[in-house]
Amino acid sequence: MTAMGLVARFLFQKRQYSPKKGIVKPGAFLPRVGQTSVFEISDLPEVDVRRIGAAVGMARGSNPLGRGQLGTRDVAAAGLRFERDDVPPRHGNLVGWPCEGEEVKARCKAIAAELAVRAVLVLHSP
Amino acid sequence: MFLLRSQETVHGGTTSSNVANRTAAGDRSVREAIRQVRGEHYWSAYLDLIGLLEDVEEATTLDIRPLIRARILLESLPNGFPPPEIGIDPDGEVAFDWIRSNRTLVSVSIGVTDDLSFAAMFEDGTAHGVIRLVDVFPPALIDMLQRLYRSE
Repeated sequence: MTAMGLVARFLFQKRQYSPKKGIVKPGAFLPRVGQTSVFEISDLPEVDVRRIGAAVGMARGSNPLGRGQLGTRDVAAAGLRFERDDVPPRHGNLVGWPCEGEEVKARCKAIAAELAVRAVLVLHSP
Repeated sequence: MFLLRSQETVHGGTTSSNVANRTAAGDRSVREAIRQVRGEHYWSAYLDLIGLLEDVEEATTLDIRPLIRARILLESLPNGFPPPEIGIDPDGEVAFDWIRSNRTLVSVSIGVTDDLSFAAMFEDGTAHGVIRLVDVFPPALIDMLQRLYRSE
């Protein structure tokens, strides 16, 4: 992972972003089973990013509507880290979410909100 | 204020389609009153909440209790605030997001208990924690919304 790395969270539901405000909603980044699935898209041309998104969408039967794009610095600033597993290639997870103690959900929401305001919303035209 | 606490008591085994059918057969006159008194934006949010039933099955947990609590919260939203954008969290909780174009926001999650988890990103700071949903719109949430929209 380069210092200037970029990761993308593909968005499959309209409820995950606000096109009017140009922002990904916090809920799109909340973890499922302690991690948030993303893909590293550093140095990739747009066409290749879309190909990854389409491949992810094949399993769901729909193409992504867009993506939330974050620098790894943004991820680190929110207290998380990106762990790449390459299953499938370029896939990884945002990990380091709080998972115990009081107000876990609220703490996760605070992190997700920080990611949301830092993320760049890129809409995929059909 | 409209409180539509109908007979939608939660029972085990209730399916989203049952609820959807019941919602579709709801009282049209009350809906029309909501539209007229609270405005089109509020009505859109209300419909959005109903439409959320379709997404619940994609969440980890299939449970309509968060939807019912979310409806109560939406219906008690004081005048003067815009309706929230509505979403669903991976754990099945309903998310209410008040988002401004300057990328400040208040996000509240409504689950199966009276405790609402929230996070806020203001121009001058952040906040997160848990607030209690009782019979009225939580005063702490009003304070946060006032802070969010203060400079508008």
